[in-house]
Amino acid sequence: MIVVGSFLPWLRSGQASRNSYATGGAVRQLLDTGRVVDDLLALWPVIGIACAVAVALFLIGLRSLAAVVAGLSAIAAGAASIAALAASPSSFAKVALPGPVVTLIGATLVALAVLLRAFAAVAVPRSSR
Amino acid sequence: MTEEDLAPGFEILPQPPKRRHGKLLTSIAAVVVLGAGGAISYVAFSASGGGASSPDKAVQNVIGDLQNADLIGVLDDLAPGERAALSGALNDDVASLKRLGVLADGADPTGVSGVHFAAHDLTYADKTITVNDHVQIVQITGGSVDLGGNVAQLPFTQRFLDLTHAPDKDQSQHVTIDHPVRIAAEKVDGGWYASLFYTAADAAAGHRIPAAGDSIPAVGADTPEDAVDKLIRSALSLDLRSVIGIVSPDELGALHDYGAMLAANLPTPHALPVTLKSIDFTSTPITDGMRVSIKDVSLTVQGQQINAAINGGCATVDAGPLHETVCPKDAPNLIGGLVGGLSCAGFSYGSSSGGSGGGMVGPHHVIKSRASSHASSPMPAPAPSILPSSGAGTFGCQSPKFTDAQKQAITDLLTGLISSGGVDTAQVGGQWFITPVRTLADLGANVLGALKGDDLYVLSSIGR
Repeated sequence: MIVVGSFLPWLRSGQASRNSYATGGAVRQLLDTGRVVDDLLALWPVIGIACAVAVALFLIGLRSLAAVVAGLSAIAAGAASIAALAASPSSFAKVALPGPVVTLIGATLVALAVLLRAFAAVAVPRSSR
Repeated sequence: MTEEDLAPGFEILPQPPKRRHGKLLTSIAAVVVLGAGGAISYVAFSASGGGASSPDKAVQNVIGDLQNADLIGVLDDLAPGERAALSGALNDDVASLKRLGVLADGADPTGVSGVHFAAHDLTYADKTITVNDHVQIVQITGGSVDLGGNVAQLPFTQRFLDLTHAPDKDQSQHVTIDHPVRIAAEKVDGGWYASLFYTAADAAAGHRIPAAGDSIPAVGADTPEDAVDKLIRSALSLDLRSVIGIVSPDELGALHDYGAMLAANLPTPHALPVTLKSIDFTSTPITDGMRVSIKDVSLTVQGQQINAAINGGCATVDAGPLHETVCPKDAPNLIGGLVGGLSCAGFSYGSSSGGSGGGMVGPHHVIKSRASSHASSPMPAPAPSILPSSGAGTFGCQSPKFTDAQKQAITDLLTGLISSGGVDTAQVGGQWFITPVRTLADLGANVLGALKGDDLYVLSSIGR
């Protein structure tokens, strides 16, 4: 859902809409975002491969490491979605809901899954399973 | 466990071969997932900008974005240097115009039907015209364009629409392209972008292609202050080549490439009777550059020494017997005096009142006369003043009377002008250059930013 959401509309300008990657590019080029935000936006396209790495690690049995990568991805995607939803519209562009909302739902589900796994690991020791 | 460990009657049966297929399939699935993730990231990186693959595509992108009323797309299509010059100020302008009640706060950008642009059956020349290794001209040879607008449907406030008496009717125009329309595209970092300034330069040059000898090389300075110093000295000595040379090649590369050709079309200017003695600057960081403002300057104009300094938002001028400090709050009286003077078909001169070496003229005007400060001088010569005095209107001239709100609006306007007045500079290839377009765009944005509340409407009421 994080990856699907990232390709849904995030920004509308006129009759055109942009996915999260095109939005990130436009924001970097048109707004004075500051160095840190600019670097984070430059890294945003990595979210796809990060989610893939989390799934691949899970498949090959490295589940704790997969949970860490998935958790980081969820944090990044959640932060991006919340930032987009909180952004104030300008007179020529406004945030489109589908992309950030779907991404935020995906990030929340992943975060819950990671938390559940962490809770299970702590509450139910390996020896008792 | 071995055979010896087994109880009698038991034996170890041969084990079926371990299933390795599961692990293999899992590994293949992991690799596929990684490949898909890589592909997604590659597509994502491609979507995050970088220009078009050809000059034609760059122009088509602009036309497509115009048709979609996609202002962000249009800005994104521009060459990065031009985009940087315009976009920052545009963002600030939009925010300021909302604050000042010109643009509606809750305007829905997706519902803007105030302007429409539709291109039909556009055809392009088979080949582009090469200007140099990074600029090509795309020719639109046929088709038609429908261009229309209804100001009343733009996201302006009703108050602004009432003020401008904008008619609530659609005004459309159909244009058939019967001769080539030339649009320049510039290649930056491997991507092609439409270029406003190269398009303008091409038109200004009468569509002639500049030769290599027409180019004026970019020669920057070591510091932002040196760049502005060079600009001012070059301008005062009417050295147009040096003026163009210090202009940012990122922002106005067109000026460099077409420089000699454009300069040849200008009339030869007369020498200025001005000599720059010294100049000192203050610099403030701006996004991707520095804004350089004049702190103090010493000039000789026709043998007359003039010193000027800007401090705390006020300008102090020393010119012979004249010594004046003008602050933004003086502006309404200054403007009133100037307008009053002009209404007499000539400038009126105020004179410092009081015989003790200068005095106060108006509530904020600090005027000191060096000539009159000589105690030994029996008849101190009146110091000429550019500020209106209590004698303004002596000749029966009427100065405009400003309301308190108008005075405040003028003060805010002048505060914006003085506080943000400066020349924007940017670094290109380790050298500092002037960015004139950004300077003008930022100045406009900063002046708008300095206005408050109803200032814009109050200013528009002056003289009505």
